[in-house]
Order: sequence, then structure tokens, then C-alpha cells
Amino acid sequence: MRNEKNPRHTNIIFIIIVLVSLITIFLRATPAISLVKKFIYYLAYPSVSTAHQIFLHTGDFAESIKSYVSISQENLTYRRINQELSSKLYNYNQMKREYDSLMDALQIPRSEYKAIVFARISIREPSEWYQWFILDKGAADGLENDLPVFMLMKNGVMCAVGSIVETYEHSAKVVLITNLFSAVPVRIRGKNINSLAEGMNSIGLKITYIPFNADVAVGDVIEVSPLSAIFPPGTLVGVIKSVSTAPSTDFKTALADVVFDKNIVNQVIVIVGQKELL
Amino acid sequence: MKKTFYLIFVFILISILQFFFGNYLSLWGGYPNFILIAIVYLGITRGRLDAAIAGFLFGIVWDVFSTDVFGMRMLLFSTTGYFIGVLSKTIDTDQPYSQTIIMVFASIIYFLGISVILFLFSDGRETLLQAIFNWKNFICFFATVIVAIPALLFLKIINRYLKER
Repeated sequence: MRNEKNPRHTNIIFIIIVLVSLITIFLRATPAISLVKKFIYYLAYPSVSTAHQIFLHTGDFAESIKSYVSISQENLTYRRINQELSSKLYNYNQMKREYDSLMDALQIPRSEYKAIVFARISIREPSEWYQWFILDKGAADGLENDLPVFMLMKNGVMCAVGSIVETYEHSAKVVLITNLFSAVPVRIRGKNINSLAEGMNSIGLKITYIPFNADVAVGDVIEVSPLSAIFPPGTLVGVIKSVSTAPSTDFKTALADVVFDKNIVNQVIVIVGQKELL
Repeated sequence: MKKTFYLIFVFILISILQFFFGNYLSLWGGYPNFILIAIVYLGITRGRLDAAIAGFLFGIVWDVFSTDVFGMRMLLFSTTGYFIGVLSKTIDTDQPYSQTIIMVFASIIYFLGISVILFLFSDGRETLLQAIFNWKNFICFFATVIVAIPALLFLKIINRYLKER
């Protein structure tokens, strides 16, 4: 607090101020006081454009403060949600570590973490019907090259259709197992006979490298062998239609019908590897 | 010179705050009286003379823009500033509760004074009690006191910061 040097002067000034105020109040209607008021008003009041600018910016400023407050509140909410999710993620990771430790201790084989993407066929050229088609899902959905493509049959069994060869943001090109350039390592189900299924750009597959003394008969089921780098072993591929009878010293061949063509293919399944959470 | 510019700047800032932001802070027709808070602060920190002169100047500006009784706020603001300056000598104004009491006292002087003057110069349709105890006065009174507590604390921190620099 500041000490005044001369209290008497202070009192005199205060009295003058009070007197001026009282005189102004009582004589406010006189022309002289009105003139003084108008003069001060003229000095103090900003020009129309300045007043407009002040009002304009005052509104903007108030809006800015309001939006700032609202953003701060949203930020706080998101921070809280983030903390909750971080806590849940931490718990999940801890549980996963415990789970892995237990699996190791009990020597139980681990199941792989996989995710399934359902995709529709958006383009399939009639002239190249057994060669390729285009899916309506792409890299944005987790698809990538060399992923296997399956079809779900009516009995719930998955059969091999092809593999992805080109991936774009929202589409992917699939080469069918019936394509001339496709070859899938297969085996005859229940007979442990390994061979190769080659595409022929038609409904059938050419099964090659069948040992000449192998017991292969019409109606045998062909499935993917463990040698395949793309499809999981045991995936259904086709059914033997005919076996060559020509004499051969090493191998014989057979023709097979693909299973997926028995249904109308309009939706396929792609199994993608699920990324581990950090 | 520097101090003069600083005081002019503060004067303009508080005037803008009162006359332009009052509309945005209005609650049921009442809003905080920033000028009264500034005068109380001046009375506490700079003494009765500065507070009375500042009150007089703020009063002129408000009266010029107002259609009420011309000269009413000159009288009330300068009187309030003077008495707060006198009162601040007798109590410890550094304590927040003392400042709150001073603010309540200043608001009572001001709003009571306004009501009495308006009653004296009115057309006599309402009694003195009706003029004093009206809803808008109460809202303004409480809004001013509530806003004054953090405002005085803020001004005190700013003042301390400026002094340290």
C-alpha cells in the first residue's frame, strides 16, 4: 500500500471530485452540462467502423474462447479414454505373457493368431474365367500378395481358390489354381500320395507326378500337401475325374475337377496374419 | 512516461472489458462490474487518491455512454475508491478474505448508492425498498463479488511478477 505524502491535498481533491459530481448530477439537464457530455461522448466513442470492428472481433474472441474450452474438454475426455485403453492393453499384454508362459510350461502347441477377411468378387472376365478375378478388398483391409484365397462351401468346409498376386489400396487380383501358371503341391487324401496340381485355364486340374504304381482312383479327394508355401495343409482342392492309363515308367497323370467351381463363386475368404499388439 | 502509458492501457482495457464484454457475460440481465473491481484494486494497492481519481474518470466514461442520471457513477466510483483506500489502511489487505470483505463492502456502497440516486431522481412509481432490493441489483452484486475474488488474486500475481522483473 502506498502512503500518501500530503493527506490534506488528497482530501481537497476528493472534495472537489465529489462537488463536481454533485453539480453534474443536479445540473445535468442544463445546456452546458449536456454540451460537456456530448463533447466527452464525441471524444470517447469510437468511429462507426472502429465500433463495428470491436463488436466483430469481440464476437470472434468469445467464439474462440468457447471453442478453446470445448476442445480442452474433449481433450480431457480423450486423455481419460486413452488412459483406460492403455491400462487395458497393459493388462492384455500381461495376460498374454502369462498365457504364453503356461503354454510353454505345459508344452501345448500354440494356435496361430489369424484374422479372416470376407471379400466379394468385383471383376471376373468371362474370357479368362478360370485365370483370375479382382476382389473388392485390398491393402487397406490387411490383404497382401501371396495370401491364400478360399471359398466356404455349403457344408462349412473351406476349399482352395487361388492366391493374391497384386494388391492395391481397395482391391486385389487373385490368380486361380486353375490358371495355367498355377501349380499347387497336393496329396491324395488318405493315401499319402504326393503330387502336383497344375492349372489348365479350364474347369479341371492336371495332377502330375503321381508315382506310376500309386493306387489312385476316380473319386479320390485331392487336398493341399504340407509342401505348399501358400495354402495350409489339408485344404480341399478337387476330386479325381480320370486317371491316365498310358504306360509310363516313372509317373502317371490324372485329371481332377476343382471343388470351388461347384458353387457360385461370389464371395471368398482371405486369411490374413493378425499383427501382434505392442 | 512508461507508467502513464501503462495506466492508459489498463484504463482502456477495463473499459473494453466492461462495455463490450458485459453483453457476453450477462446472466439474467446482470453482469460483473469490472470497473468496480479495478477501483477496489487501486484503492488497496495505490491508495485513496488514485482510486478516487480513477473512479471519477471511469465514472465519466460510463455516464457518457449511459442514459441514467449523468454524474451518478462519477460520484459513486470516486467515493467508493476513496473509502476503500481509507479502509485498506486499517486492515491487512494481503489476505484473500480481507479482500473479499472489502469487495463486499465496496459493492454494497456502490449498489446501494445507485439504487438511492435512481430512486431520488425517479418518477416515484416505486418505493426506496423496491429500488434497493431488486433482482438485477442482487445478480450484479453477487456476480461482481464472485468474479472479484479470482480477479484480485490474478492482479496480485501479475503485480508481484511485474515488481520482480
